Amino acid sequence: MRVALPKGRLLADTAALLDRAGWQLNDYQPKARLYRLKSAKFPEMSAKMLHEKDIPIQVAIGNYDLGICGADWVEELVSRYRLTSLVKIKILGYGHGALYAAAAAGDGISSLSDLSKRSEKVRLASEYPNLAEQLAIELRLKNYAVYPLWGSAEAYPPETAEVVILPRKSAGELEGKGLKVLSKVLDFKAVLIANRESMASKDLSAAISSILANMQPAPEIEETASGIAAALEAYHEYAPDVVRLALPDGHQQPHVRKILDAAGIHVEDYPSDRGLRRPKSDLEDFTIKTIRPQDMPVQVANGNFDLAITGWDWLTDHLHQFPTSPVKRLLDLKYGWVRIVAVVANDVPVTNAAELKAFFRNKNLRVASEYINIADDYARHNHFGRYRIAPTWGSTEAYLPEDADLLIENTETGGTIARHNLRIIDTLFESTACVIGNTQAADNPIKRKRMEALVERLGKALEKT
Amino acid sequence: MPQERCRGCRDLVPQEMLKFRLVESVFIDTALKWGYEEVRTPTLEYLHLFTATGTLTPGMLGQVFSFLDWDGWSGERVVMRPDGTIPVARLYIDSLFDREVTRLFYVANVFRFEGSPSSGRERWQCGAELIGGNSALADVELIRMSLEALELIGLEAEIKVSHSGVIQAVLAQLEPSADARHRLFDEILDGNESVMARLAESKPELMAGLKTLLEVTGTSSNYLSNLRSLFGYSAELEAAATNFAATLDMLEDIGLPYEIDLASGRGFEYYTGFIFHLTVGGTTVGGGGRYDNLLALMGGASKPAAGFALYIDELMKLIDMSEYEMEEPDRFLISFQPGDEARAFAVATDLRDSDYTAEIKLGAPDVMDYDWVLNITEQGLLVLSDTETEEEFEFETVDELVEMLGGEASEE
Repeated sequence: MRVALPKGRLLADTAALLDRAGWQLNDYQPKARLYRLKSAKFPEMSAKMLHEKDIPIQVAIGNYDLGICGADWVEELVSRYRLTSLVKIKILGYGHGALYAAAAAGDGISSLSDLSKRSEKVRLASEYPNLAEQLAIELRLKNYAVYPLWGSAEAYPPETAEVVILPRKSAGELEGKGLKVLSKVLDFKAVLIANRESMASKDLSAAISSILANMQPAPEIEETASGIAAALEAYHEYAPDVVRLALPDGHQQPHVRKILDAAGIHVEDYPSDRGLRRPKSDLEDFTIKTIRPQDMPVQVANGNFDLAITGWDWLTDHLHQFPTSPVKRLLDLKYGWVRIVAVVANDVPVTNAAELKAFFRNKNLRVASEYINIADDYARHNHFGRYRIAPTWGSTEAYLPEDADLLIENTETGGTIARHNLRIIDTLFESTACVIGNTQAADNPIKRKRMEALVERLGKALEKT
Repeated sequence: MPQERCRGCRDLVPQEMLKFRLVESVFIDTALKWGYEEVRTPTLEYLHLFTATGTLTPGMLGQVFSFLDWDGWSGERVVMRPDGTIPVARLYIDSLFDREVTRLFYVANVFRFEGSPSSGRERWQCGAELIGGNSALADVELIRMSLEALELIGLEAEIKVSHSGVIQAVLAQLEPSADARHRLFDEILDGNESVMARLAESKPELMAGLKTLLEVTGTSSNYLSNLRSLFGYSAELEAAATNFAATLDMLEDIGLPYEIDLASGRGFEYYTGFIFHLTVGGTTVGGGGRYDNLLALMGGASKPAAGFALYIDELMKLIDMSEYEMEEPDRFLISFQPGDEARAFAVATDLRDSDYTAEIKLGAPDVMDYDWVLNITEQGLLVLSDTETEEEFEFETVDELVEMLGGEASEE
């Protein structure tokens, strides 16, 4: 019996439930060093910790018999793919949240039906692109684009998307972020799911009944929407000559801050301890937003931003998907060095891509990666015969050897890879943080000058540090 | 490991291609004789071409094969044509908008994902669109033309008629909220039969009438009068019913039998008026109708239009090739000595120039698959043998041979 358990948000409540159910898992906790878990109660069970978002697909394709994850990710998957192989067994009563469709407060969009009347393009940004698409179709939007995001959706409206679909515990939380809720798309809680084939052929009853017998009544949830939302920050007004700069959120912020400081560029509220996303700077004629670095290349390509600071790895992935994209690297920032590597399980007797290809001749080669376009390019260039790429959202090491044969991963020291009993067989390239820019934005001479001046200033600052 | 065909897709082997080409060529001949001109649109279109009109149902749009373009960083998606009419309407607006009446036809594949394995993902259609012109007359022209093509294939089709305007007018009486009514109509279009059951529960008094309307099929325009009496007049129903009756009257005038079946709306998203299905032995082999709003919704000038499509995949199942005498030119197998390849090719070319089919001998073919075997001897003579009678004839040139056979194949 194979079970997929969530990391992150649902971990504590799930661990408590399984504890009550007497599973006696050895190391199901946030700081676990390995993703593989053993249960003293079910010695034949192998459990793994995966990113919540990956669990529905892994259960659907049969890598796991049972899984626990948020129902939001189940709906995201089944709203696009007609999966008959996935069975929802039971809503578990914890991990409540809701997906909301929201616009910027004060953007003039007061309801979803306002969008249906528009004939100009409606941009929907979301970590849930399939549900966003479903909403667009149901609203019969005449012209729309869905931007799949890695995160930070709340940063997008109104300048870079009209609507975002994002999860929160209550509508009030979004109002607190300066967003206006247009509708609730979905209410969700943690859910126990199973593979249909496993349900038909394996005895999962002991595990399932131990969970069902130990559920706790769901706490009452109070909706706290006030119906009034106000913008927290002034929105950017984009004059044609103003340069739109995207700075990374998350762990890159201290590095970027250091470079900005060295360049003598004064930026207020970055990193923002209030979670705001429009830092102010003394750079004249620049507007700044903070978004997720993974999302930057496409947002620069589509003209939402002119300049951004992201990783060469993410730009490379973007350029593999869109070979003629008008985005290029303008400056290597030299921090955040990683290698992008091809990884197999230690007991696979191959030392390079050619041997890997031979070893998997006439078999499906299962590739797991966060970088699906880089992985696809690697597979094509090495003439792998039948391969499938499963996108993952982190902890990719957990997939080998049971759920994938090859990983395309980034690594700094290789330590994590070795600890999971895996081996690097190839280095695809090295990556560092960089400034990227939209080459079409440079058609505007004033903008071009401003972009060049900033890049030059950052370059000089790098030499000093 | 054998390479499998993509799920939901099919191959057409030579025997099936014969059927395909038969349907296609009969349709093309018919359409040309009715004054229609052939067009072809690309397989890939922008997705927003199909979302822009707001007419396609969520159910239908949820089945399209769409993906980000190679330059789709702005979210621009392309779709493999899920429908034949909308691209032709686009072509008309792009290139032919200045014509008063336009008659166009096409043979095209459309792509949709279907849950059931029996219905394919790639479906071929022979379609005709009549843009501009008087409505009832145009409706009847399209029906007659579709029936004529089917007759030439050897099929007698039954006509089931419905009317989008009438269905909507009736729904308007059942469901006052415009939003709810649209969702209801979407579901009917998507073929969701449980809608009716749900309505029956929530509105039993009105449903009695609707059930009659949907279940009783009529064969004359009297049916419409009865319909009016069931539902009471609304201006909307009155207008739609009058429009429906005009086409039905004309069908009666020219003696085309039909059956009214209002319930069948599936697959007719953008239709505004008259709708017809063509069935053979219970199988739907085609259908069409009037879409007067589509061109304006797509940004063109407002113009009445109607069209139909015949479903090649369904028609192929109904064709028995043994009923057709295929007039094929005689087949020659050219046999020769090693070193004589140049002569063999030259002889084969001469035969083809006279419209015969000539194959160079490869491997060890069964001579009974050919009408004639032509052996090029070491001396350079052409020895022709009749594979049936084993009679042999000797020639020095292909011209002599063709003369003996009575001239070119096409003149036989």
